[in-house]
Amino acid sequence: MSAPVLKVEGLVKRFGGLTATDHVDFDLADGEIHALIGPNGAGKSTLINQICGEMRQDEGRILLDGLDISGHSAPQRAKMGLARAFQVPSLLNDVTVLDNVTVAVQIRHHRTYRISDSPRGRRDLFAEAEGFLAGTGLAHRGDIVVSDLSHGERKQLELVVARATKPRLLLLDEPMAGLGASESQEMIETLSTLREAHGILLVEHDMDAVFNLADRISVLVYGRIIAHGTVDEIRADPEVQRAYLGEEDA
Amino acid sequence: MDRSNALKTLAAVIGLLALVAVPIIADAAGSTAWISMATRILIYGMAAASLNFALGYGGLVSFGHAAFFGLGGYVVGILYQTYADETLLFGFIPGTNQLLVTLPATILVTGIAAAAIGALSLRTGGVQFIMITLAFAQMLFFFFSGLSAYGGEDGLIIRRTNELFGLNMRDRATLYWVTLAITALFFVIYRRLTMSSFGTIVSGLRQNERRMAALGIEAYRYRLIAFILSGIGTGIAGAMLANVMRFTSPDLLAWHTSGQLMIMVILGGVGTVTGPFLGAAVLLILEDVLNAWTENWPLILGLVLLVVVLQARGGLMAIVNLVRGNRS
Repeated sequence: MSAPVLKVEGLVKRFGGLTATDHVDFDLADGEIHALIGPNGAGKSTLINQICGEMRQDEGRILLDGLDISGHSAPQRAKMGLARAFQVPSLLNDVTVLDNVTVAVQIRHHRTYRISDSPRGRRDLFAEAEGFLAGTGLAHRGDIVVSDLSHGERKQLELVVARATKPRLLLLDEPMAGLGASESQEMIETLSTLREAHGILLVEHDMDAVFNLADRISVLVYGRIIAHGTVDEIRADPEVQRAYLGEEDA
Repeated sequence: MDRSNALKTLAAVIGLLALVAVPIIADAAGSTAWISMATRILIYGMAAASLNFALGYGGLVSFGHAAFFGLGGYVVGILYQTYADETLLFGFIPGTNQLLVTLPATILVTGIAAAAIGALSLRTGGVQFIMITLAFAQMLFFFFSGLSAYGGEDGLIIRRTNELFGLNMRDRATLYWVTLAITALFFVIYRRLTMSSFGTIVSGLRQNERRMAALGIEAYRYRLIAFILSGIGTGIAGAMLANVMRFTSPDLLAWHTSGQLMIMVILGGVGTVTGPFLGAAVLLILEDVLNAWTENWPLILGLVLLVVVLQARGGLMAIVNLVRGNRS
């Protein structure tokens, strides 16, 4: 396996007396889908927020391509290739689907300070953004204002926008949350095609999706990683069964 | 698509011709007061549109834009007085009565002021931002009120309008046309700005700062640039107002001027390109008409505002678009 894209070392985050992240270590290789599972309140979102820079850790380091990014702000990390899809879609709601993708494209091209380029002068950006929409369920929905989209479409758009930044690493926070059965199936297919191009850290509740997609799985319970390994190893692990999978069966 | 573009261009040309013809029509109708009114509408329109870039596009609800409006006026006034007295400002700056000098000077002064005020105010958000911008404007209000060398509370009389290319700037129609030319140039730049790459980022930050951060945008510096551009635009309007009124006073810096500009934006349509101009026109004309009718005019004006804002949440532009939409 190649050198890790993302490496998390000894990460700790405390909220008062509660240790939300308790000495977490894991890594993620290029082209790998690493799933992070765990019951509600296990600290998955806290961990994601620290990796993307919205929240600062109390201890430990985060390395992207071997570079320590622990002190970087969220925008700096985004520029270095960390793209995020939010659990609850967080988009530009007043503008169209295409505009949302175009913003991601223009930021990647550093076209953010031009104060007098006309829409005609931005045509190349729109064309590139269309390219990211092509082949997705949103291909013919480019002109729709985001506030008119369904939840499932917004989840898809989150992913397209993240891809349009051409990231090194995708942080996907529950991409299946709130999706119908067929929408979930589509999302699984989309994600399996994406692993070629990016490393993916997948936080997900949908066990079918996780077992389908993940190369490796880490199980987070009470802020601590209690197990990690391949899909088969995790399925067989008795501690995981008890702490997490068992609860779901009950 | 081509056809609707052609129609839009036609509408713009007709609109521009109508604006150019205002002094001629006013003369023919024997109402020269219309010319002053039209000039003021253009100027307040520029100020409101500038505020709208910060407020409507950037989501930066500044309650202190009177600061830039008034500063623009004082740049013209103080430079004129220095010129008339044949002295040097701060011991080294010669005065001037040339519009081609006072406008760039206004851009410089209001740009620096907006950078300073913005740099501090933008560290806050929400209601605090509103209050801090208001506080800065009030500080400038009291500063100029106490500045007795330049009129203090009474304000500063500018005996002659700035000169430009040897035009007869005492002629109201000429002054209107000069203002119209500046407003037209302003409008082209402002419209471009709202649709530019930078404008897209600024409006993205209004809609969802968290999303923009996740895409790599540090909000502060973009908002600061937007605030500076907005302040400069308002400053230019203030400089033109001082030229047209041949007077500037601390009143221009007071909080009710900020409120007036804000009302124009809200009335016309927050975050629309032409709305603020429409809002300026309606507010100034209403004030004028109601003032002639009753001294309790602010009460009626308040009711009108209430109806417009409640009935059309997008302001007058929402009504215009509704009519337009029904036709096509």
